[in-house]
Amino acid sequence: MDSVQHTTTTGVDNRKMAMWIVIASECMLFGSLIINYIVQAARVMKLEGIGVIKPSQIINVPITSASTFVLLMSSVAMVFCLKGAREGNVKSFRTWSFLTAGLGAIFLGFQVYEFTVFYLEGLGMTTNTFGSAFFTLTGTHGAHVLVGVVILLTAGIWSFYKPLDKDKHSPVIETIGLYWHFVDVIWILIFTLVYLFVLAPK
Amino acid sequence: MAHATSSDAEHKHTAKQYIQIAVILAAITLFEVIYPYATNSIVALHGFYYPLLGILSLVKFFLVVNFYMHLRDDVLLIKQIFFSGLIVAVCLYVALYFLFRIFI
Repeated sequence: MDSVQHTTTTGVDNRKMAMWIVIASECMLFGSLIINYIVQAARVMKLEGIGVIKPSQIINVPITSASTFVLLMSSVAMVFCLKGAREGNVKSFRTWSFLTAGLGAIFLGFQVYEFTVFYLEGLGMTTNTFGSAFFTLTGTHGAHVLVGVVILLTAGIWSFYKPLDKDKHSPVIETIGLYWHFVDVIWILIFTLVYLFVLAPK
Repeated sequence: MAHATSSDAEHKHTAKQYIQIAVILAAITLFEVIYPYATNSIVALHGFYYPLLGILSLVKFFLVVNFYMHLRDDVLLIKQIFFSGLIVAVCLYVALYFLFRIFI
């Protein structure tokens, strides 16, 4: 019995099943972080006074739109990475896995830039509850992207040393892809709830 | 006991379909970015701000989940697992919304 034809009572590859369970639990994690952000941001929006940094004053939608576009395109690259693995085309798999990781790294670059600008403008992790909620939410998401980038780079580099077996390895790449797409869909929600909603006309 | 690791339907998606989904995602994102600035000058659009952006966000969410994560082609058990987590997250959102009676 090799690593592909393992015993399963669910009819689904165990690794894929495990990843979907992780994704379901991550939905709950990010759900709680997003609602926490909304509550804290709404409270800060109602505050008056000199020195109160409000979300609508500090959030830069054009920059974040660019990073959102980059992350969306990384999902497309991930799809072609999996397609390459399924076809046993190591060159295609390697190219798309590095491209996906590269786009993820660019997204992280945007996030580092944004965090730096916010910090220089006076909003830090401990400035107020809005700052804490914002950095916790976007930082947790960024950490997930970083993990995905490391996994994709590892898979790409690994393909230089081991032959790609489409039957044996494509389920593993599919599991990595599920994780990457999930990181993308969570950002889709964060982008709307955290960045676009604060620009609502008053 | 051997099982397929992914459904046959997943393999039916072509590169063209993936590109089409990507174009739709990019177009929606572009609209989302332009819309907040457009609504500032058009008062009639103010009431649609939250619902429209919320719906567009959900459209993008389910496009990625269904076509890139292949959830629509997957077995019922996977769908149940995913939606159980999603439903708990939405319930938490609704509960805290009513608890704090607060929204941006």
